[in-house]
Amino acid sequence: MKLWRYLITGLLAVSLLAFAGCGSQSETSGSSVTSTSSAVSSESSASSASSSATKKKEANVTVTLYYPNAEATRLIADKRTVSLNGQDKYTAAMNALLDGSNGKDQIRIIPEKTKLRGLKVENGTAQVNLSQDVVKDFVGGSTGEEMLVGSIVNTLTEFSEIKRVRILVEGHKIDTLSGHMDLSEPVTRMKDLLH
Amino acid sequence: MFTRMLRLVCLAGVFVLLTSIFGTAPSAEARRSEVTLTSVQSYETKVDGRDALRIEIGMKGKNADYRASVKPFLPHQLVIDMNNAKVDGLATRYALDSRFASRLMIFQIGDKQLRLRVNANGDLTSSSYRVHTEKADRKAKKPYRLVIDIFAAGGESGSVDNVRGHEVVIDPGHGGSDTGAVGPSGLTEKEVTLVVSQKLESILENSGASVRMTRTTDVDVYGPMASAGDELQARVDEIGPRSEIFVSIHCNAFSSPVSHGMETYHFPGSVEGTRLARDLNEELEEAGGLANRGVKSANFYVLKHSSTPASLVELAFITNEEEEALLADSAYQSKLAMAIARGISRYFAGE
Repeated sequence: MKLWRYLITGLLAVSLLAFAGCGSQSETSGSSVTSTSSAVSSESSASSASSSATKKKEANVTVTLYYPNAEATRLIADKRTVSLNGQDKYTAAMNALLDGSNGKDQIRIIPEKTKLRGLKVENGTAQVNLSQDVVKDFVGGSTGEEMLVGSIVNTLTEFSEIKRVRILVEGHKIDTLSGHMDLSEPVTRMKDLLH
Repeated sequence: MFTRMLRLVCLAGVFVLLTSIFGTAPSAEARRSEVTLTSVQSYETKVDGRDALRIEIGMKGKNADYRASVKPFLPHQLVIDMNNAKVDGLATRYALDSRFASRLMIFQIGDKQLRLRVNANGDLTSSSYRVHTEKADRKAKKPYRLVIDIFAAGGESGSVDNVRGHEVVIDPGHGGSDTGAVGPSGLTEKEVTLVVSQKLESILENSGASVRMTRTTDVDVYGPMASAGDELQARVDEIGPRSEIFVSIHCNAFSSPVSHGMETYHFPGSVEGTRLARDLNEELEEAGGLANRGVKSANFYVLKHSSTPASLVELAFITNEEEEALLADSAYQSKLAMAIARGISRYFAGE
């Protein structure tokens, strides 16, 4: 009996080690920006348009974030000044969007636990890498999906150099979020949702 | 805790051992196996939320070889042909005390060939019966058996004009491992879309249309754990060479319980798709009475990849308490199915 106990304890220890291994791996590969925008991101962020080191930490940027209204009939713009905290402006905008809004009649559609794993801009296309929570905790629905994607795409295409947005989940390309939208190609600004 | 884990480890070991011993039985031998029908039992129950008569035919043996069909000239009769099968101690006729069917008959029609007939109380459509086998269940003291489910005659009795001879593909949104959206009281989108689609199928078949369903049970169309793209592609792959339109049935959802109403979608720039979405929208507004959120265009996967004009309808918001209650209501589901059938009728009339 004792022997078995040792064996199982050993097994448990090995599996715990394996878990710990996974954790540290994702920490180093992700762009290490937590959902609270106040957190300081590491300088090794994968963002291509990374702000140069000359920028001061207290530098601010004005961003226009889009949140759906309670009836989910349209997206409402929310202009905010957010501190960069060492992030590039795109990452700062995305993290501010993920933080949610206190605005009246502005609803959180991106699941609360969703984390930004990375964001890079290349040739007019922004690649937004989100954590699995965006799928797992998503309410779904055609309207839900349009509003979620629209809030991200329209927030990022506020930067004139971004023309298209591709959403990745844990670094992988996706075909759809909840079975309605075709997200296999980058999405251009969703103007229909703005009026 | 540890002893429980130990037991689990042991069980897993035994399982692996057993599958390695028995899992590789030659399939040719399995095919040659023979079954003997030994018992008949019937009772009314609910199957996937629908009222049904369930007939269970107990069998000795395994891998029953059967084929179920409904002949166009005898639409109220379900015929099940069985090969390599015989009966032991069973009557040839059974009266079924049910709203759905009146009689079961078992005929020996050749050496080791049986024909079972179920007389339903109305015309049968592909969604009003289901036949499958179930493994022996020792706990329930049930043998290996053939299970025949007969649902309410035709599901729906209504019919519409202008659809005779036309072929329609109906796609009950989500299913299987994908519940779709879930309402505050736990109603799932996948169950509502299936019931409404089956009611719609009945109405269209009553009206002389042929209907292809992307799914008729609670399953993933491609298979569980498939990529979302494969799953959606499998649905548009159900469109046949003679299919004329594709209608995908969904329930809407949003993170605020306030949002409500019905809407229909088409692919941007599709003229016929827009006409279909508009016809469906007008009929759903009239019959369903919900706020009309409009006819919208969207880059939805099934609309984009459909080879026929297509529309996706969002019946109501399952995340809104009042609308969830409506979506769960059988009479309301029938109303919506009839509205969609009328929309399809108008589409084929050229409106």
